[in-house]
Amino acid sequence: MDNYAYIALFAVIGVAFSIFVMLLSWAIRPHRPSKVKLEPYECGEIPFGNAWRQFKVGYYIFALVFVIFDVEAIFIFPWAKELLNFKAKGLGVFAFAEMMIFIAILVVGLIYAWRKGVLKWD
Amino acid sequence: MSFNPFYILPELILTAGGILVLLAGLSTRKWEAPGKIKPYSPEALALLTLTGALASSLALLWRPEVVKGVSQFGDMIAVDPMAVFFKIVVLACSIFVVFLAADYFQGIRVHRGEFYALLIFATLAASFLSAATDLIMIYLSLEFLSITSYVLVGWLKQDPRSNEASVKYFLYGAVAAAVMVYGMSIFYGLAATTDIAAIHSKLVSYPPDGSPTHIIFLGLLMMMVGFGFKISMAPFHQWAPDTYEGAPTPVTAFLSVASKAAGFAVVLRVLVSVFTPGVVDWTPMIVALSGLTMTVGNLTALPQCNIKRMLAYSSIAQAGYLLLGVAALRLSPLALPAVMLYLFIYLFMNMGAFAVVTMVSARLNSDDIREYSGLAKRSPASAVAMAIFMLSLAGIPPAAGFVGKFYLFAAALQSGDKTLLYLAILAIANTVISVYYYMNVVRYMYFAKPKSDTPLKPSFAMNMVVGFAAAATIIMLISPEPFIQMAKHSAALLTGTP
Repeated sequence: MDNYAYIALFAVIGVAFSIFVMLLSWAIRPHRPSKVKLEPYECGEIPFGNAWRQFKVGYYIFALVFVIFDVEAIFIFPWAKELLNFKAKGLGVFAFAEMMIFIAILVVGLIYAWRKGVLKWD
Repeated sequence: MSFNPFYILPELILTAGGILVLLAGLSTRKWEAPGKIKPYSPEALALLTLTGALASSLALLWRPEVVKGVSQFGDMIAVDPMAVFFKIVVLACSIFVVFLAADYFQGIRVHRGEFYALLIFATLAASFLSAATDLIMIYLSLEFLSITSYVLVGWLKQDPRSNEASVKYFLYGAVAAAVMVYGMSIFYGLAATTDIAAIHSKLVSYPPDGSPTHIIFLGLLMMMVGFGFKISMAPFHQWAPDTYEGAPTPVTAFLSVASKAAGFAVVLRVLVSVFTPGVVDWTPMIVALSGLTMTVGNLTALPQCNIKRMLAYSSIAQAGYLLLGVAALRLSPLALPAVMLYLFIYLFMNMGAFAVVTMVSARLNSDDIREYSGLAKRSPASAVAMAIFMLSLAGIPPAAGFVGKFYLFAAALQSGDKTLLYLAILAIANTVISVYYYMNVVRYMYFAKPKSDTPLKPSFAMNMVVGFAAAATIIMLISPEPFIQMAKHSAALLTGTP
């Protein structure tokens, strides 16, 4: 139970601190609104139209394909660092083969996406 | 226990086969109608994969160490007779589904390669689920099975009802999984491990007066929400009718047998291995859920006009009967074999019924029960088979469902418990109610006037599938002894005995 008390304390202090900072900045900041300042932030672009409009679905599919290889990289970095240690323990071939199987499965995903024409941006 | 690829050969075959089917699907033209099953077509490859996995599962039974049970991947999965039994049920169901899908997708423009690949991956998930002995593994394989099922349910992209079914299934599934994970976190909090054997030894180590019984019960209840969703147990069954109705019929068949069997596998394993007597008494809870499930299922099945909806409520009711066996688990040694025997019989009778439904709906483009009028004249063999399946589902003697129900009720009575006796009486009353809607189909087939006299011609493959299921249903009634023996031998778990 004591461990949970720490978590509760942490949560309370965390929330209280954020509220405190927001109140503090509200109290001491100068208040000078202008038209440009009140516009929604869109990476420096001048906003046009409504945000509730249709987007090209291609963005999402590209993002999904990207995520697969992003995750692959996360797995490969620690594996590459530890591979020599595996080799020292006589598990070098095993560890190498495991990663190759993993990459092969992901490559199937890439081939699939490619054959389905996902990578074409028309 | 060291790693041995032989123990997970069925899963390895399914993984490799699923990927191959996916690639084979790319080379077939996008909207190509299936026609005959050619070699190298996704259907043929899927059949080959599933048959290979089934054969390697059967081969596991000949290994003496499997009979005692082997643990793999650091106690993540168990290779024991119960896991192998459920794998066989799931794989056999998927083989049926491939035949059904080949018939169903004739003339429908769908992507076939992906369908069979996802079906194989769903089978893989169900086979891992039936062997999982770690909360993380249970959660992962349950979600794997759910996510592949959501996609399969929404396969008819042009049909809004299929999309609706998929979204409903997804929303219910997401909530049920979230509650289940919360329940699992309680056990992790108590035992600081996710291994179910280790959780069990922690739970029994509490002194009798210092055991946190209420928290354990709460955690179990929350886990039962996730499991109950998979086996369509009331009150977590509301997704079933809409999903069963909207999904492509072969997928409905998969959900009602393979998905449900895997769900029962995990319910049995968790209840038997973790919550042994002295930890928490779950019998009254399961008794209440069983009574509710069978009554709700049967009473709502009565007014249905759509055969898939009727079979959905019927499968909820069947889950209620199976839960009767689960409730008796602790008090009767007969209960575990009875549940497994009933699932084995249920596999054939329900897949058979769905095969006939697929055949009719692919030819008449309707799932209305009134469309079965005069089926006895339009396709006599299918009508006879359907009558057998309906009798079997109702549990009337000339079919195997009777044997299954007999053993379930016998297990409840053998326990000598008062509440289980009342539950068995309720189950018998429910069986009588169910005769009405099952026999309604038979009445339409034999005594109602058909709209047209054109005979329906099932394909050779469909005739074989329906004939095989009907033969199995009859054989299991005539000589049930080998199947009872099989269930008794399979009712052995790696961790804990009932």
